[in-house]
Amino acid sequence: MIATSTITAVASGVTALLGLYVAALAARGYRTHGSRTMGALAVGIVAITTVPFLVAHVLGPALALSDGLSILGIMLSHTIGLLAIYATFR
Amino acid sequence: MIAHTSPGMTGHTTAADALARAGAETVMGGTSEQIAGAVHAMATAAGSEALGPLPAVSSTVGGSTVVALAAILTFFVAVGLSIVVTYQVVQGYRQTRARPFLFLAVGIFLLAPAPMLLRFVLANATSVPFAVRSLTAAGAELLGLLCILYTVYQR
Amino acid sequence: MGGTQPRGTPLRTRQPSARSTRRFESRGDSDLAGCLASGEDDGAAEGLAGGGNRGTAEWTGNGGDGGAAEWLRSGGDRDPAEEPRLKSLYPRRQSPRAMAPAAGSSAEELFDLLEDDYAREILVQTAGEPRSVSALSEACDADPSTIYRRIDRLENRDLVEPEQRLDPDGHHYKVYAARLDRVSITLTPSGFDVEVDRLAKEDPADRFTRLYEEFSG
Repeated sequence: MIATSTITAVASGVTALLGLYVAALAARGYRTHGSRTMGALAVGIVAITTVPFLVAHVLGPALALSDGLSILGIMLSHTIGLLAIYATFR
Repeated sequence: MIAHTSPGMTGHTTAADALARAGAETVMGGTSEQIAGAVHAMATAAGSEALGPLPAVSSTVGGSTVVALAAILTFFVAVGLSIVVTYQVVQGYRQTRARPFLFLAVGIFLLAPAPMLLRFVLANATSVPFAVRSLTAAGAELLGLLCILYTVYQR
Repeated sequence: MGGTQPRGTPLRTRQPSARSTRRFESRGDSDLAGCLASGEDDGAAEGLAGGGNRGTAEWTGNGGDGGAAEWLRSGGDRDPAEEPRLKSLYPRRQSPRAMAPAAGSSAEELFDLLEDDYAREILVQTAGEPRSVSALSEACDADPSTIYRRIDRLENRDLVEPEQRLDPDGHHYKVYAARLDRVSITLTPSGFDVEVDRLAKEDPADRFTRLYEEFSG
């Protein structure tokens, strides 16, 4: 029986990679067309998918962060991502 | 999740108290007793606004209290933003009403607001451990990204 | 390549707004048959080609929406009217050169395909915007089966590309958009060189940008 945390880690990792790719597409749209909407979208996607994974599974163990700090990092990053996506509309 | 009960609290749950507790459970979900204690203190404080003086509970370690409170606060902001973004996404689809935009809308919804809303619901409705909530959130994000990719690459 | 036709058939440039009648002249030789490109009501096509002589071959086609596709080949001259392609989302007219095999059977196939009135009409109809088979059948005044056959052949040569659409009832149907931008036929001592320029497929990042910009308002 694989531990839930391992499955979560794998899922988060895949999501992080895929998010990076989609964000790259958005970033290319920002660079080619000067579209600030796509720029904000790229930031949002990275903040939601990639950064939380890094905080929880890379930075956390590396810097020996407490659980609370890890969770705070995840929450904070996702919130910033939400803010960026909010900013893309109109 | 460690449950703390003190005589004054039983049967006197107010909305603020319940909300604070829900937020705490969502965020903390079984991390440390001290954090749970800090949260409980906060819940007590919230409850005392409505009910009057209540017995104080456990003491906490300073640092983690700040962290815990910051996390809870961030979470509430996130839930609020999630509701707003959901509304924006729905509006966006209603204005365009075409197939590719449906998948785009669903994708953005699953990616950004859904994980937070899921966390909130799962923490309160069922006693689901934090890791499972994180897994659900990651799953939603993954589905959302796949929807977006489908929109982009479908012709 | 026999024949004693006079050299220097006058080259004519099309005015996109001018209305003119179709002219069709063919020498009937095997290598290069006279071709006629047909446009919509306002546009007109005019082409004349000499198959038997070493004069210039000129082909002018007019798209339905006023965009003119025009090329003329003479000796070693390149088309000077190549305007700089600005990068933009609308319309998707960036064309990397797609080389077709120099001569031989596939060039013949291409000529055969383009010789077909319906195939040319289909290309013209779909040059401005994607059209469905039923719309094309109406516009070209032809049986849907005829259209399907032409579409099949055009799709095999990658001259049209399909796209899926949803009608109000929720049924999927296909629309076709022309991918052909330009056909260049160069005469060399070893035969005819055929170059087919196709429109570039829409870059995913561009499509993403286009869709999301519209979605977010």
